[in-house]
Amino acid sequence: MKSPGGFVVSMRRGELAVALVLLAVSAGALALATGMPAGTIAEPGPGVFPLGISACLLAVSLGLVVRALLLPPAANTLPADSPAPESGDEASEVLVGHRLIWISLASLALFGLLLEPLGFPICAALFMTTLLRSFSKLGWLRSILGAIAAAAIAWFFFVQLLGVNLPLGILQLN
Amino acid sequence: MIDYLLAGFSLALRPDNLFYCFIGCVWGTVVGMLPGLGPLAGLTLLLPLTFNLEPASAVIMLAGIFYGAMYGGSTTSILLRIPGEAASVITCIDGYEMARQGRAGPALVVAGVGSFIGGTVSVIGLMLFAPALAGVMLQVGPAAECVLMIFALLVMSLISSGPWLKTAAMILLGLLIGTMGLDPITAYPRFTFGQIELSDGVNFISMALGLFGLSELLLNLENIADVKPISPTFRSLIPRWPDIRAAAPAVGRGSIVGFLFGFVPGISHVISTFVSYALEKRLSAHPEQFGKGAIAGVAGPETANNATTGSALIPLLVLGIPAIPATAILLSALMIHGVQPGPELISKNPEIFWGLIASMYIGNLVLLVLNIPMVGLFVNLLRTPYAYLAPSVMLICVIGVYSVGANSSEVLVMVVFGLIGYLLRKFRFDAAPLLLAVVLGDRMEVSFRRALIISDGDYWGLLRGGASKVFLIALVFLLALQGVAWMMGYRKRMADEAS
Repeated sequence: MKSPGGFVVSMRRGELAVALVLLAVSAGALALATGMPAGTIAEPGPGVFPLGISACLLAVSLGLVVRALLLPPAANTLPADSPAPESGDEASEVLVGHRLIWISLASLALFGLLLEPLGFPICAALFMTTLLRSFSKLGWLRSILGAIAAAAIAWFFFVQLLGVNLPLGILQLN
Repeated sequence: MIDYLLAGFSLALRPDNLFYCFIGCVWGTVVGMLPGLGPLAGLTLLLPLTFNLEPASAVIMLAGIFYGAMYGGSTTSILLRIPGEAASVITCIDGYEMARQGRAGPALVVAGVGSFIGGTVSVIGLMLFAPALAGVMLQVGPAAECVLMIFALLVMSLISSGPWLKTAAMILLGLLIGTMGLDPITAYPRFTFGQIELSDGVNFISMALGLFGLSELLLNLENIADVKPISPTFRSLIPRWPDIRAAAPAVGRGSIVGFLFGFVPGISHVISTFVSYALEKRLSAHPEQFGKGAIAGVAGPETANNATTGSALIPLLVLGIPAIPATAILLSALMIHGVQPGPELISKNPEIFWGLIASMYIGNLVLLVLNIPMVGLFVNLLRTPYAYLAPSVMLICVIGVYSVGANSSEVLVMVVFGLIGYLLRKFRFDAAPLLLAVVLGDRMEVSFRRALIISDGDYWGLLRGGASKVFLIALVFLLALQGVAWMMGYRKRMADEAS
């Protein structure tokens, strides 16, 4: 079944996008590397390797762009409600993304941002509640209880047993 | 050598090291079994937790994960037709057919025993070859080191199953990322954008966890389905005599194939399984049985993938070059503990080398017990809904990444690389060469610049003497292996499996 939150991309477009990103990265790196000290032929400076590598990457990226452009376009454009395509040969389309992927990435990013202010126990509980509720058929109560249990077990195992330093955040007693 | 080995056993048999070895083996089996968590993710997850351990203990535990995963991957291949990790793909073919025919027990036993024998042969090889090779490598200088690293990256780009351009792009991107931070010789800031946090470059743990751990989890989220494995009974584990007779020669050949291919940079553990399968099929009196439950089709590849573990450690321990991504994590662990792998490791830190050897003997025994009579316990783990497993593993990823430097921005780095890894995988770019290049790039540059200083700027001097001999020997050896793999139809099969 086609997944919610995903979109179909032809391999051609996908490879072209990656190649263009690599092209941009290598061009930028090359520009920055030219400003680094090159040293001498006998004693290469810190700029030589970045210059050489980014130049090679630029050439390879151009090759990838050409390769992507030469790929045959996808044979058929899939209707919106068709089954997810199999990633097969170069001409096929792939399904990129899924509702659960975006939820996971957003939750992880928020976890990172709030970890020190709120502390690990609260962030872990909120994170697990969000994912359990989204991934499974558990109701809110069970998701919250499961999340609290997971956060408590993780705290005990990693902080108490293994000595990992995790922040308490607002739960810290001054 | 016996004295050193006995000293190694006395270290490995210490209760704390036995415990770490056991934890590593169990965790390795778990990550090998669970689709969605590979040995690389398993290693990266536990790496931050080894910071408070002694170097030898850390390496013992991490190595346990490394070779343990080779055991665990076969269980899901046989019982579910889902490879737990890449080196178990080929076992799905005949292993699952055997399980469907009610012969899951013999398949599991043969895979387990074959893995044990392959792993043990590999450790013996490591024990015999590594000190000898270290002695040779002490004679060569930074020029040879640089040439070998360039060569390792070249071979990786040629041997990869994907288009050469894509692999080359990943290697070059990895080398570029590796230049971020302060220049190792002059401390000049490169690509730091004025950020102090980037003085040491991108955090390797965050990048590895994102590219491999998180991206794998994200890929599996596209299709969360509860798995229902075939459950073998204890009595059914006992193989019949015809099975043993058919499997034994395959185990012997698989050991040799695996050990030889373990030296090949890139995906040696995967290549070895394909070569072994093709070899067994060619030598079999009944090749038509392959694909329909031929026990040699399980015995050979499973032995081969474990036999790569010892030889894959030789480039790491003796040359300081990680041939495969998993050993790149081991390299990080050693360097974090202030131990520099290379020709001097065996002489300067013998307790690490011989302790590791001894623990691998012990670990292989532990894994034999875990994967055969206790297989039922692990099979139950497979019944855990992915909807619960995935969030738990993500939580562990966050803990692992944060514990490295108590810096919550590393979580964001992991998320970014997770998304990058996911997209790269979607569009068939292999991230493993990228990771290897990040690890090798820095040292390759330092070796190159040092060699030039020594040779007074003579670029051709880099290829004279020890460097050129090392290069030529390695070139002939690896081209020969590549030739074997080509003849065995490895590339075509990898392409078929990828589709």
